[in-house]
Amino acid sequence: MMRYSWKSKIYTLLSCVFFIGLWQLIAIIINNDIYIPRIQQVIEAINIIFKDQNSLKGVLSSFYRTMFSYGLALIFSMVLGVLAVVCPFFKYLMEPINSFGKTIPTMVLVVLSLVWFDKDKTPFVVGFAIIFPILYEGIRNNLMQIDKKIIDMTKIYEVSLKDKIKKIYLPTMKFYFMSIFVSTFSLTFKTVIAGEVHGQPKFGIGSQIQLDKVNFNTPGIFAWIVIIVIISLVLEIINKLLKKKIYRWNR
Amino acid sequence: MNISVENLNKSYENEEIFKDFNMEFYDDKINCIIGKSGCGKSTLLNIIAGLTEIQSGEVSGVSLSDISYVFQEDRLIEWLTVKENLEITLKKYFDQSVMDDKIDGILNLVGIYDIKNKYPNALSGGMRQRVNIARAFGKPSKVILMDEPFKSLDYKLKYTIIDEFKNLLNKEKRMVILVTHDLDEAIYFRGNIIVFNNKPVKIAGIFNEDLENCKENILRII
Repeated sequence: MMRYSWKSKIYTLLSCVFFIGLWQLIAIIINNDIYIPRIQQVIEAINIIFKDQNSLKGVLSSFYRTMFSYGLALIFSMVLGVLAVVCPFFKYLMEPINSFGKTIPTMVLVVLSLVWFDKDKTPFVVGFAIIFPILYEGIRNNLMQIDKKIIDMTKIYEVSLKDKIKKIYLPTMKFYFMSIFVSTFSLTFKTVIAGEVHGQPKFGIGSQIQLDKVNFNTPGIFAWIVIIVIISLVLEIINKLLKKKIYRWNR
Repeated sequence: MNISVENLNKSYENEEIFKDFNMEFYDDKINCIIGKSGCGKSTLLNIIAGLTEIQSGEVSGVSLSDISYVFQEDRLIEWLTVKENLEITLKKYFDQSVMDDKIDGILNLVGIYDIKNKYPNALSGGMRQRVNIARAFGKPSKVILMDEPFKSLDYKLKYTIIDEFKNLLNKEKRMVILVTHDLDEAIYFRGNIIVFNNKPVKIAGIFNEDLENCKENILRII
């Protein structure tokens, strides 16, 4: 198992090296950094971003907006998910909102948010609106799939609703959340950045990317992509560590 | 305490399981219900426990607080330790100040005190079933319903656990209603053997004496 794990890591690393090499090769052939910058130009752009105070503020602002939208969507999803399971009225009430939220295109949301709210709020609204239906539906379905036999057991032993929520529903939500955290958080992050590109708040990765676009600074845009990928990797590592802790009963 | 099932009617889709069914269970007895798979034995237990709805009829003499249930599958919550699994089911009946002693006591009774901080995932089938039994005895109930709880255990382990269960029952008298399709297991309990057959269910016979010699008879009418 250990050997296999190392082998797969080496193959993944080799694959990364191959695609980076391919990128550099294409950049050399095209020889125009507006289309595809070389690796050294992107590293230089990353260096500039890290030295610039505003860029750091941009990263922190985007991260804060993502955390806020995601956190709010998660709290709403958990509360409404439990209500939908305990009281079917909420399930039916949420049905049309959820379907609407899932199908509405991101760009329509961005435009509407810009009309209804100011440019600083748009990334929050878009981040929340995109991720809430996904989290809510996932949490609700997960709760509904809790083994009926376990629920019957809790009936026989007269387990209180408080304990059912604390010891069964919340852990079930926690396990589901851990399995989707990286993908959904990354999606929120991307959506918030899209909202920033259009909303242009003072600080934000999206605002910086838009600025780089206007200035034809493609190395700058690539640099932001690299930074976003690094942030996602860090999240993935944190997620793995948390999973190890949370799933200790399954070892 | 007696449990009466009166004029019970229950059907699934177009299949009638119970039609005007009547039955009585008496105090401090092991009542083994035996019959073919799918004949309605487990359904009767679930009806007595209030887990299955009925079309009409009545179950009297018992309420939810009087019932413990040893399920066929142990129904342990995988992310809670053995102690936590017991704690969540006994919370309603015992004060937190005596909970630890109570849990230790039950685990000692079924001989699994050492595993109280383990997760179910780390336990063997036999250990898990012992926790299932401990949970049923932990609740201060008057009746223990048992739905083929030894089905998944191997022969030797099955009879070891049945012996342990009978010892426990001698210490803490309760009415037991056990469902099984294994006649040898039912005989080993030395209680009443109630034979179900047909659909809708009919009681084909009740045996409580000289069980070994009734074996042929029981097999004939199942």
